[in-house]
Amino acid sequence: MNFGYLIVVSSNKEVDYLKLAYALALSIKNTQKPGYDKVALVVDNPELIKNLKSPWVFDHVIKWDKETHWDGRSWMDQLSPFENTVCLDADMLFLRDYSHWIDYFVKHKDLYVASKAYTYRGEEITSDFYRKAFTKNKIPSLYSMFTFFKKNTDIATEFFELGRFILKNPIEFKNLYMSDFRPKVVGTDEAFGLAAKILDIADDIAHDLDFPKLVHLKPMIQNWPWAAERVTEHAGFYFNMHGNLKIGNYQQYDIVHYVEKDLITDEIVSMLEEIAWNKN
Amino acid sequence: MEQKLMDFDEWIKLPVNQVEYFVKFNEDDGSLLGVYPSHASQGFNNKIKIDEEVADSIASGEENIFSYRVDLPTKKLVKISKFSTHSLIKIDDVLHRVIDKKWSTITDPDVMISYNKENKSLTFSMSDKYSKNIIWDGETEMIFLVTDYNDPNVLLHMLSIRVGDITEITKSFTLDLPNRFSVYTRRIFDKYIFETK
Repeated sequence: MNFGYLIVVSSNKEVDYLKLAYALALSIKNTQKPGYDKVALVVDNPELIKNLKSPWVFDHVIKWDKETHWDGRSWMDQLSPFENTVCLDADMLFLRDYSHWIDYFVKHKDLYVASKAYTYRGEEITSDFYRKAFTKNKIPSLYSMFTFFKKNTDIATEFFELGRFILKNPIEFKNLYMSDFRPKVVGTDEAFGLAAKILDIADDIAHDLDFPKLVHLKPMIQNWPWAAERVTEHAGFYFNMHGNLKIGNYQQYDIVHYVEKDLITDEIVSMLEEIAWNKN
Repeated sequence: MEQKLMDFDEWIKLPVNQVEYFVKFNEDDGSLLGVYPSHASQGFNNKIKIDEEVADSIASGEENIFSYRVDLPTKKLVKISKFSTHSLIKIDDVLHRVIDKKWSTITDPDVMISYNKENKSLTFSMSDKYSKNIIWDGETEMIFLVTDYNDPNVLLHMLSIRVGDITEITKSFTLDLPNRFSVYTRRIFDKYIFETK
């Protein structure tokens, strides 16, 4: 089976996305079994990889600088070196073996985009606090942070081409499809949701499954009875030398999308590196 | 009648007319009653001289007379420091992980914790800036939780220290600790640092 994870990053003055991608790749190497642990990195400046202590965690490094920031993910189908790919956001961590999810996707799907996320306490997120553009305009609420696709399949090609077209023409698509609540920015999630709606494939590519389970640490959707600017103002982030993560006093088992980029400190990276070195 | 001006060379040699400042204090509890320049304080018995710096900071509103007290036996002015200098708002304030010096950018810590692996001693100390003429207001207990590395859910030891115990001297505990551990505390001061030797 030719499978791998794809992470797309670009240089940014405020956030070191390469460091986040490196931490994610280390966590993939630490937790996934052989055959399910390949990682490809798309980056605008591959020279920076040389500064990392364990650049080998990236099985493929692809230089690409056509788009900046997260928009680059919409080119995932053209950038991935794998036949079967899961494209991830850089600010995520893997905490256990998820290879059985991949087996299902490879066997049954040409394209699947996550449509559910969970709080750190394992509750399904129902709040649309950050997703009013989806609910008000009846657009499928897709999370591009976990997108599985098979290369060169009709449905994936059509979906990603339309997604890119939406990203390049946001005003027209906002006027046509998002008149009840216009988002400031049409990002990858909005573009994917719109593409699924226009192609009428939401039931095929984002139907209800118990996986992938993605813990989304945006603060206002944690079902707290108070407002919050950061999840870690109210719940601690405790990563240990066994590669386990507790948020508050909840042990995390699923993929964590931590959102707060400064959580990945040099100390956490060094812990992930040490775990990887001890494993290999 | 014309006034004769003093010769400049003689005038420059005269001593500068410097104002000295005094505080009037309550003889029962040492609390301050007022700050006065020397010429206005001549009728008071219960007064001590203070630095111009202190007088200026009170006059400018930077501090107030409640920030100080006179230590009655020694007749010295002492600063009253609020015990908690950090607002406890976030979880990182209530349960603050003391970061290892290796990973920290803090260069002027308020509280230092060091572990000597050879002697198995965990030593607590405070910055020199807290060592002189400070009396602490209110409850001064600091609790330190020695836990599994980066996991306060697994408690190894709980240590209690009064701030006065470490302002001028250090306090050590003999503890056999694992190779890696963390120290958590309620964040009373702004900057804590941890070091293993």
